[in-house]
Amino acid sequence: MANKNDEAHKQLKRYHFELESKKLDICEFQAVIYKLLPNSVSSDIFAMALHEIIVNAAEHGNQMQAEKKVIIDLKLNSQFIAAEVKDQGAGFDWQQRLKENFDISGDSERGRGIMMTARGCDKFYYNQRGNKAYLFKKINF
Amino acid sequence: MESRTNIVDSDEVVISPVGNIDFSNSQDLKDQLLELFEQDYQKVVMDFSEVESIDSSGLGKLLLFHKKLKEKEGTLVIRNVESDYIKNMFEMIHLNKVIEIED
Repeated sequence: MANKNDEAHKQLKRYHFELESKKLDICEFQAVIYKLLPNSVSSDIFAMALHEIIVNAAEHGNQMQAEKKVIIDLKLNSQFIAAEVKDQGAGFDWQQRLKENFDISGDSERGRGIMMTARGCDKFYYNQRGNKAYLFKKINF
Repeated sequence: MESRTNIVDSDEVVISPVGNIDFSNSQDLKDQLLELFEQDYQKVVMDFSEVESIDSSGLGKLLLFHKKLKEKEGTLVIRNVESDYIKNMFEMIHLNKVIEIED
């Protein structure tokens, strides 16, 4: 078992990205991530979740001020994908938001992204301040 | 965002968006759907055969439009979902319980 873990650890790939808080840059980044991840249902769901959290970081965290960055650190191997997404905003009460019920048909036009992320990832939480998100998902082929 | 609109008859219209529906262009889709809403179609079909991905921002527009149509006894139907990415997402959130998705 130890050998298997060592092997997986060796294969760990790390990527670092800094995006400006611009709608088009944020959305075009989806294709970059999609190409990096292995072809699996878990990857698709992780890519979707990561996009939602990056949009939230740019929109709610950085208030779409282009000069403010969204900083993304991605780690992956054959067993899992993990990401940290940091913005330069004031943070938010993420624990409160996650307590709200997931109601896909709710009235609001917005606000589903964070709930979809919680549903799609194996682990999902923020730092205390709420301006750095952690996402983790096991890969099942 | 690019999309085509085919009028079937005075009650039904098919709208076919192309590419990604996301945070960068979902407002365009909303405007297009509201235009159809004002034209009083009872059935609006969204053909997804050329849609590659959709995010929660796009989904929010669909759900809002679905709700508005339902209020005047109209229906929204999603058809021809080809992308596995979109299929996985719709399945994860059980969208079929809210909006009719044709196989």
